[in-house]
Amino acid sequence: MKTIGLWIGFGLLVLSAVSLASAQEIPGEPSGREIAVMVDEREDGDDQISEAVWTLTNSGGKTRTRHTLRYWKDYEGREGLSSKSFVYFESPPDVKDTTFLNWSQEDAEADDDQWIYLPALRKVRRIASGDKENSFMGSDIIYDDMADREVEEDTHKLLRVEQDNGTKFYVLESTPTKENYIYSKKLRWINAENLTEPKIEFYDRKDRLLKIWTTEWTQIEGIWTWKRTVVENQLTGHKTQLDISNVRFNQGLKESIFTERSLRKGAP
Amino acid sequence: MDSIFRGLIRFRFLVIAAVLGVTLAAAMQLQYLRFESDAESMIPPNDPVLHYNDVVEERFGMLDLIIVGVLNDNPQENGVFNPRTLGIVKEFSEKIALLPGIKAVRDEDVTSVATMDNITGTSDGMAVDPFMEEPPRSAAALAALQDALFDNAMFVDWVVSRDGTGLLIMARMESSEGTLEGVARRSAIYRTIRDMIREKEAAGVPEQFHIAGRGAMEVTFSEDARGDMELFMPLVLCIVLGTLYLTYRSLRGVLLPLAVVIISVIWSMGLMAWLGVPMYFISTMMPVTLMAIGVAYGIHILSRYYDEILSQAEPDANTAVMAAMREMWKPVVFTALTTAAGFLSFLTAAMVPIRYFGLFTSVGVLAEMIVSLTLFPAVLSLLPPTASRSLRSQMNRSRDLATTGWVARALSSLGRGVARRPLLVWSIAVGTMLTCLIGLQRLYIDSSWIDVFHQQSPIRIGDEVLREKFQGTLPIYVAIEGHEPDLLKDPDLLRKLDRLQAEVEQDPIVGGSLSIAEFIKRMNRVMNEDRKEMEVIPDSRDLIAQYLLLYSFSGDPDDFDEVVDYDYQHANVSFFLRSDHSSDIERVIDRIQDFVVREFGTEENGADGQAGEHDPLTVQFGRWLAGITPTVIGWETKSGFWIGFAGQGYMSNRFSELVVSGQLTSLVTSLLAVFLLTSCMFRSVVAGLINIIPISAVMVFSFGLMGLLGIPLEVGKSMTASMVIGIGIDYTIHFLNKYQLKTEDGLLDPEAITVATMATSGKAIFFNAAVVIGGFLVFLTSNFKPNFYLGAMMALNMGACLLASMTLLPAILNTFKPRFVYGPTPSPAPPLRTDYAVSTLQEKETV
Repeated sequence: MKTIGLWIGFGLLVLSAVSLASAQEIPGEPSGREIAVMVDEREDGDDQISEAVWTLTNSGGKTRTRHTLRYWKDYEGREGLSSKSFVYFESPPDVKDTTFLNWSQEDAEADDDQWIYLPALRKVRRIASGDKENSFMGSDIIYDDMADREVEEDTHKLLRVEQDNGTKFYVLESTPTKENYIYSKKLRWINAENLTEPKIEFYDRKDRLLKIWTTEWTQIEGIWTWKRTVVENQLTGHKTQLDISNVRFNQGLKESIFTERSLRKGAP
Repeated sequence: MDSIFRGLIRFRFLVIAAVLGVTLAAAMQLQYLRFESDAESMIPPNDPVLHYNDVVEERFGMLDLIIVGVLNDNPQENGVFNPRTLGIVKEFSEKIALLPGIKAVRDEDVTSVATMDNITGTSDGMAVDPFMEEPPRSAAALAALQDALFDNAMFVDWVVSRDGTGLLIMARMESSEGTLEGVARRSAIYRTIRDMIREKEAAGVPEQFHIAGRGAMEVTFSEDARGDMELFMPLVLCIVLGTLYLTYRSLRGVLLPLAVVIISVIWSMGLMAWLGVPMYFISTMMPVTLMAIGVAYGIHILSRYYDEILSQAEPDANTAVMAAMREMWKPVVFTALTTAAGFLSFLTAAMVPIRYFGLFTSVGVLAEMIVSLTLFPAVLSLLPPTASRSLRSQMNRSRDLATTGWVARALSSLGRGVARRPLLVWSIAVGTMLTCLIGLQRLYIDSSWIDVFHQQSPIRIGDEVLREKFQGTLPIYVAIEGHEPDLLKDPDLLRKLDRLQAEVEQDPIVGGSLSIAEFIKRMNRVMNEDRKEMEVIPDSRDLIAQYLLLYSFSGDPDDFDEVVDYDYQHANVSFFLRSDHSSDIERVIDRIQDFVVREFGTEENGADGQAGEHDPLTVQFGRWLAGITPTVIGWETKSGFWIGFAGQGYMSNRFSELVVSGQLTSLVTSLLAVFLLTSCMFRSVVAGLINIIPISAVMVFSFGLMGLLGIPLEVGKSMTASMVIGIGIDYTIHFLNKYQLKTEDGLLDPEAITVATMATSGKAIFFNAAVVIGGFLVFLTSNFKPNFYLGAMMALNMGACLLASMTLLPAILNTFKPRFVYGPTPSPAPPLRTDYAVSTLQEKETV
């Protein structure tokens, strides 16, 4: 699927380059669309294990902290899935051993398959959620932010090029083609060198700045990945900080980790 | 005193110029006058109950709601479950979410069937789905939506009415933060929604629409208040002008008192603007009140002036003015002082707006006194001393003031009757007092916010309909404060909250309630194959923690904000009431507090939540007089939680406590002030006592009557008491003053004195009362119940004051013949003299 997407994307790219010279917003720079495609294609590994500390802070300054262990595997469209992930909660103590499994659909419109195991209930329960606006793990990130968003779902415009400490950043404006989408637009800062996104601004339907998402990146085993990411909701004052550690790529994770059966067993 | 008035007359142009100059300066300030419309400003900002309410509202992110009800009771259309009605709800929900000043980040932040997710249990887990994304079209899909809504108890009576004929849309409004822009933004929200509704109605949709919620009330409140003022000013002006013209049939008799009133209103409002004091809702009554009061001084001076002109063959302007001023300055000064004292007694109120209203109205009254005493002699001395032809011809025919004009004739007969049948006056007075004292025992306090609006007001109708159909719009919060995080995950505590809800919901006016316990129960059922019997609090604390985690996967980080704080230390139980009558609210609060005492206990030595102890002494005194129990913020319980009470329902109880007890104190203060002032004026304590007897009788009458008729005492009505005392005492002062003057003139027979007093001062008092009553009757046209009641109470009480000062007062004087009137030595039986008219004329000649 991804390769087909790439070809289509390439085809469209050639087409637009040929037919619309104006698609190039800034002379001498790639067009917004081209940048978006490049970012979409950035190498992210076949699978990944990571530990995370979630620090959720509300506007009153009170916090909730959770430690999780996460296993992730890229499915690249196999079985109609884009990826599978397994999350194990290590703390706080009253939710320890809770596990969560997510099968992310390749089709952005389709609902993900999710299961949760609550140790105090001793049951695995399937969660069918049809609302992409819902929070991911109680954070300021919503499911839609985590889904693989196709390049075609937005129109991309290169607003300007910024220099910061000798690093070149593209500032991309991505506006959804669909009416009444959760966001009216996103402003994305893209590192021209390594195509990482250190900052994204999300604008809500009333075109107010809703969230600022900043990420510190690190390169592990040649792959750019999050070290720390902070999402601040500008309207509610709620803040999510995610500190990622112990990242390992391409461990050859078995498919059996990402099954209902393994939910009960806890961390593999 | 003579020399002062002679001086005023000599430098009359200077006086007129000075008055006009000050007026101009004050008028220039008026542009800086600002309006304060926030209802919350009525409660003192440092009030502990208000403060605690703010703490709770902030902790749980509570904001004022604007509520839109969409109703369709057509069974052919399956109530609201048809594509069109659902489509309207969806359209409105989306549009409202986009309005500036609505706190909506995500769809769900506006609550309605079109935005909410439904969490349901399935055989293998749970499903989180929007109730609808697009309005369903097929009968099967519509039925499925209906089933889904009614299957979840939390949504019934909340977003859908139990009978399936109404849907609600609820949006949270950002705080106005007290700024004008904030207030304007909130008004704009209400108006935009109203326009959306009107557009639908114009398009002919069969649905009915209602708007409710505190936000909507606030806007309607200020709109109605402004509407009232725009209507009242010209109406009162017409009544004042009309009465004045009927009294004197002359231009000066109309324009002079009017000028005094307008100048004084400008003075006091200009002073307000200059000092940076804003106009509150209650201050909008000030101009009208000053108008009704201020013409009185003119009436009394003019009355004496015309009496003088009529009784002289060759009247001279300066002589007539001097005669009027010489006799009238004292009663004018003292009636103004007593009226000002009546309003100044509002300073004992806990509410800042009431204090300012009292202060600046009394400033206005004093201004009216000063302007009357300066402008009248200055201007009248410039005008030729003529009276209207009709008055003059009547006077010429009879040579008797007592028969000049129908009012004088009627009042003279009344005076004669009162003097000849004192027993009748006494028995009627005593009988009325005894009946009203019984009524006083039955008087009870009850106020309601929504009842301030007229029965036909859309906001009141909307509120009533939505309160009946849904769970109620008035919240009371019970805050459970733990002393460390995570205490709220305790199953025992959650069960107690659950029981508290069940018990309080027994009360017919409690339409619904919400707490974290309900969410936990719901999740327990959902996770156990949706079995009904599993809708209970689970035994395991960890499971509760895990449910809470699970909820956070399917909603928003702020989802539980209104029921539990972020680290599960504090919980909030909200009760929604269908009535906002303070008597109903009190009953619910008692129920809640009984439960808390029983299940949580009270810690005697714990932190104390008595709000009453720090109240101003004036409030404490009034509360003691009225026997009101002070509002309690909360208390430390034996279970390790501090439990507090807040919410709009709780606030309105506090509000009525503060107003009623404050006004009771102010009533006592003003009676005392009036007693002292009149004692000084007549240089006799007995005179002071005699002055306050009729006014006290009026108080007993007015509140006793309310008790007898079963009309509850509320905020607006309680405020009339001091005003009645301040204004009504004028009549007794004028009457007593004239009565005393008549005896000094040599009249000794009570009947002669009474009749002569009635024909002169009585007449002036009558016109004075007629203007005041007429002015306050204008308030009866108000859309606003407080204004309506104020008008009705004032008109009735001023009438009672008039009657009491003309019947009870002469009866007292005639019966007891007090020394301050009749002199130190009891005179021998006075010769019967009926030629009081001659004596009146003689009196004039001596001047």
